[in-house]
Amino acid sequence: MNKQNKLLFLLLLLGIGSVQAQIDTNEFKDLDEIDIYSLLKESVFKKVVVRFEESPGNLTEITHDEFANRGARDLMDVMRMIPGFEFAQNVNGQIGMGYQGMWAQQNKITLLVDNVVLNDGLLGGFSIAQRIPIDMIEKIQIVKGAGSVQFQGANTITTINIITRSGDKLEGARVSVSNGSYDSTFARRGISVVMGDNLGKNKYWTVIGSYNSGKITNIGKITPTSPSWEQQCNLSELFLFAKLKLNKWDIKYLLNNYTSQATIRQSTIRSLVQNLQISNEFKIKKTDLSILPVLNMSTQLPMNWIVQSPMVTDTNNIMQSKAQARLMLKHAYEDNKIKSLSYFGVDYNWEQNTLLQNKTKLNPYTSTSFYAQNVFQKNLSRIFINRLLVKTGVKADIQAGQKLNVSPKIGIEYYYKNLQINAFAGHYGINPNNYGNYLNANLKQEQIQSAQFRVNYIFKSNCNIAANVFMNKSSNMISFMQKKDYNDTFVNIASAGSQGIELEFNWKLMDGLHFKSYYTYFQKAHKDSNLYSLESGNSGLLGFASHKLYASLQYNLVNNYWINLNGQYYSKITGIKSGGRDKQDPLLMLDVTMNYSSPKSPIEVHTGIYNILNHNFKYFQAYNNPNNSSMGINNPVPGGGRELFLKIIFKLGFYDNDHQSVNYSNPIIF
Amino acid sequence: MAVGTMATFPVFDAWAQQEIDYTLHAKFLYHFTKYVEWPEDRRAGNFVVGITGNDELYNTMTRMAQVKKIKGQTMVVLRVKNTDDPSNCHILFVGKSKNAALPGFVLKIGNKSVLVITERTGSIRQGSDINFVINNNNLNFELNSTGASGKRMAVSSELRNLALRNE
Repeated sequence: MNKQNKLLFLLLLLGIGSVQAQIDTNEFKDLDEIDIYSLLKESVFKKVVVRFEESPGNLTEITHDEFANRGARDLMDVMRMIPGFEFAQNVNGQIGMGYQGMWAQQNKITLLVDNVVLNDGLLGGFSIAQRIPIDMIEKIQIVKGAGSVQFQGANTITTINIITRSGDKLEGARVSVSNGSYDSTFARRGISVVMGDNLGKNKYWTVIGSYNSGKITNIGKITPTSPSWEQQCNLSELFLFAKLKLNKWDIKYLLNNYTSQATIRQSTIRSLVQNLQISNEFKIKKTDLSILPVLNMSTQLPMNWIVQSPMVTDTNNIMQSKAQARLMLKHAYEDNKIKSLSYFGVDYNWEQNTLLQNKTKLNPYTSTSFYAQNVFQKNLSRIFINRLLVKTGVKADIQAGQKLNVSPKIGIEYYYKNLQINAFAGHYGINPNNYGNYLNANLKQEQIQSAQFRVNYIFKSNCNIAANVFMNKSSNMISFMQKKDYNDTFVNIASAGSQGIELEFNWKLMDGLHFKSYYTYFQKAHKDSNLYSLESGNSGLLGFASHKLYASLQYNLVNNYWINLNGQYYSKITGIKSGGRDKQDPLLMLDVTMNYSSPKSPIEVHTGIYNILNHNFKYFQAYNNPNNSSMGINNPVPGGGRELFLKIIFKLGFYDNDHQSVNYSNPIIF
Repeated sequence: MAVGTMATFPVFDAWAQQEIDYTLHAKFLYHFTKYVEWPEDRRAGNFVVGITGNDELYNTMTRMAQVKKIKGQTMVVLRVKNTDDPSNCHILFVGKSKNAALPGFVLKIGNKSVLVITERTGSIRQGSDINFVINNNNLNFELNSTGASGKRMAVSSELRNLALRNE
């Protein structure tokens, strides 16, 4: 499609959107049927429910409407709207996530979809590039800092829980079709379907599926043996998530399949993760005491990073089967002044690894974990915002052949009128076995300390300024080492860490005009002077920009149209020493997007021009390393080239857009 | 309307509980007109609602005007500036942020039949006819039926009984 056609298409689309625009007037349909007496009984405050464990100190939420109106194309775009998150490409070409400079692989971030863990069992990470269709997402909860206790063990400096749409509210289907005119970036071409139905009496089903395909261009050299292999890769992915709720029984099933096929030489990068979770909450005495048994089962087929014909002996060719039985006891207490919510749990984990090359089964290993966590809130006055919260949690992992792994954490949150103060600290360990690295017997347990101090001040309820000082430190950091002979393994890095500050300024100028911004300063701290020159180059830290500025201006043009202007500035990216290039020049990215969405309309449209200033921009490449030709580093992925993106969502059947409440019985809390 | 919540930045989550929903004010405004009689010469033509200092209420009333009439008259919603003369309005709503301009508006209105509605404590004494009051999360109102009568508007006894206070 040439430029002129693109413009015409865009104009045509806007025209279609205009026809579809409807005035949202049903809110006054029954106005004459109600009387002034009933109005006197209505609450004057907006009905936004804030769960008490979702206090804002270390938990961030972003809803679908919010990120869709701000022009997000995929999960990477969404996470970039939140301070601290960036993306990088590892030695295997996977796009992974980082938080405050720490690489997410090796279990430093836990990614959940409706409480089902998405991290692979092999590297403890996940590939985030276009994996999860954002149309399936109702909201995303992020526990920043020392992560959620119950998902520790393989622990985390942050926990991300993606809450999907549910059939109890979604009575019908959403079909999303998208395409992007990408240059040197990732495919943003796909179709996704989200459908579900309410079966009545707290029963519903939901099925979510997506298929993405496209190409990665200019990805450079990957291996010393195939220097021109990956000039262009086709890429496809199938994602399936199904959940069924039958009264109290929750059954969730996740299938994640990722395939990449190079065009020049037959090669495949493939991963298959299946995960089944069954849970049930038994209320023992009304709502204050309940038991939650959870059964998690997962199978993971290998991530064959580089599969050549014939297949090389690659330690990554492992099939991993895992099962977890979890029993939780929940206790809640509330009176006029005090609220308390406690969880006590025990997990039993079983894991079996099989080498596919020779069908060798390795001995299964088991572990047991105990944990407890509590959120205690004391209202210091009758005003909701004047309160004190204390959050405590501890988890102990017992695993044969490993040291006892005890992970305590504590947080204090204080709210006085317009001032919010939050302090959080946690210590936790990562046992090597947690991600199936059974080959390196000398690997030591990783110990991580994480702390943050956040102050937030609100001006007149429509404006706030916040500062968050953070520190993450890891001793014996576990890092993946890819070797030239494919005899890959894990190594301990002596110590590594990051520290810095995040500043936020948000201003709701008026109804329909919102400005949001943040600035992050990030500094690496590590003792290994030669950290980035390890053979693998996988340092566990990312080559983040020291300074990043993000700003977003949203304008509600007409009732259902949002125009959005996004800007991101990355300072020179440093700390990349093994790649033959030790810096990335400063980068400014600008996006202009439009979102049309109305509960009454059968279609939604998201479109925009992304990265306007950088037509030929190619993301920084890990593999063109003249000194160490095979090995890359955790490279930053600021974005692709200029892209015209279009997504149309068709809403079929009766569709209720009111997604304010979600039932999920296993909250991440903190 | 698909309005994104301000949930990205957690501050607004907590604060949102205190955020006022002006849809309720709009519904009250509509129902007030059932309890107030305007003089004969104001019962023809458009029913004009002037709003100053509250964009959210203006947007809500604009949406309402597309589907509702008041006493058989077409509702027209206008944004009123400090320098405007609101005498041709049937209702003038003065938002909190423009309360300082209330005495000026009252002076311009004089004895013309404009029902002045406000949302700030003490406004009744400054010439407001109806002042919204938030009471235990509910919206209530104070009334100055004497002032309204002085402008040839008749306030029903039912509305007077409903008011928290009537002067």
